[in-house]
Amino acid sequence: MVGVDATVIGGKTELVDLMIRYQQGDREGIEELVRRLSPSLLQFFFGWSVMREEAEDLLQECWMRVHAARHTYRPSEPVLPWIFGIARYTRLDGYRRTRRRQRREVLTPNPPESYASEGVSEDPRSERIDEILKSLPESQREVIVMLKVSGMSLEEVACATSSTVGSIKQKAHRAYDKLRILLEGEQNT
Amino acid sequence: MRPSAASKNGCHRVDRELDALLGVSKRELSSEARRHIHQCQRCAALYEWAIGELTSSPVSGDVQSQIQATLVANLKTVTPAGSMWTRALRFALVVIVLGVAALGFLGPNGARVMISWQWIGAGIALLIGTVLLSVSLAWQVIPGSLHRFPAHLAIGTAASAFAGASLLLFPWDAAASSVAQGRACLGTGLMLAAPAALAFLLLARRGAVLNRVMVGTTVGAMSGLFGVSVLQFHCPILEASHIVIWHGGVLLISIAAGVAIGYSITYFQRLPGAA
Repeated sequence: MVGVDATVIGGKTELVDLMIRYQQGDREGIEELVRRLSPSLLQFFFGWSVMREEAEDLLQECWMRVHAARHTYRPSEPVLPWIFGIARYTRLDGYRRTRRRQRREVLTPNPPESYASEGVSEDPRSERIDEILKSLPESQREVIVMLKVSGMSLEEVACATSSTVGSIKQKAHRAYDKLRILLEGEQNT
Repeated sequence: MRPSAASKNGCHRVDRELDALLGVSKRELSSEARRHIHQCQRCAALYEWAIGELTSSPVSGDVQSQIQATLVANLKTVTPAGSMWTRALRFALVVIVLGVAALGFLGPNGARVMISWQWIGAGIALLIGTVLLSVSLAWQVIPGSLHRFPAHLAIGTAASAFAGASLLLFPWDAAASSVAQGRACLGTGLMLAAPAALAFLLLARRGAVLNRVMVGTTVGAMSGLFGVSVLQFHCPILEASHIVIWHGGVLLISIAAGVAIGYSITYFQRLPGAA
């Protein structure tokens, strides 16, 4: 696993520059943007989708949607809320499509390899964080993943989720409360 | 072992300070909180989780190259779209242009028999609805826009403003109009709403339609409100029950149609294999 911080995702101003170059049809601009943002987008999809293949399909679909909507990005705005706003609906559509398909399918004796089973995480602490994240309700998980994977601010997450800053803050607080309860439980045992 | 009162206070301090750091890039705690973290396992774990970045997932080289190749193959220069206000103005302009054209064709019979305060009151109520819905629709088709108010609130306010103004401004006399007259108004309103919906949809598609159900609902509400607005100034029956039931019916049916169309498109696009 790769730790994502501002240096990996790239400074927010740099992302704006890359996005402008993308709109101007610059090949290197889009290649760099894909390289920088794909890991955190994949992590965002992986928060819900179990199969690696599925998460990668969503990533590809997301970039296609980004491409189709690239004219709606305005250089005066931050890039991350715009991209994650698109990623959010890609995930929702993908999730419901998967659920529909699962209802029609029968279980196979040899299921495809899941993302978690590929040994991408060797750090027990990050596995624990993943576990905690998966125990959160969907809306809280979405907020925490956006805040922590991409380093977005509360206002940016509110933009990406078409919500208000107050509501995002409330969801993040609830997630932290749940985490506190889990940690206190572990400490007591 | 139960934690001491001092330890509990320390935990509360760390909780408070971590809460204050939510979504803030600066992640520094006070010296007291830092001291407590060294003594408390629970707070140390919480702090580590709160300040640490979640790990991201490496993308396989093949997938990344495939995405880059597909995007590069379809790369063209695009002009950034206008601001939210430009988009909202376009939606409002459609209402004005189509409204003037429709009233020119049908005749402003209602406006002729209205008294000035009815004219002003109904006009303000319809204008509020149009502005709210135009702004909401503009936000919805620009990803990453901060929605100052939710779309359902805009729809609810538009409908309430229309119903409230009708009940306040016009007398209630159910015997003043017949069902046949009401049905004629409903039919006219729906015929006006349909082309307006098409125009709004074409404009909305110039942005990025992400939540199809909500965009469908808002387009339905806007086109319904357009039908209602034209009827308000065209229909000479100035009676509250006729306006609320038959004119308001245009708004309700348009919203229902918008929801149904939005759901249908979403349903078919989410069918397995439709990606």
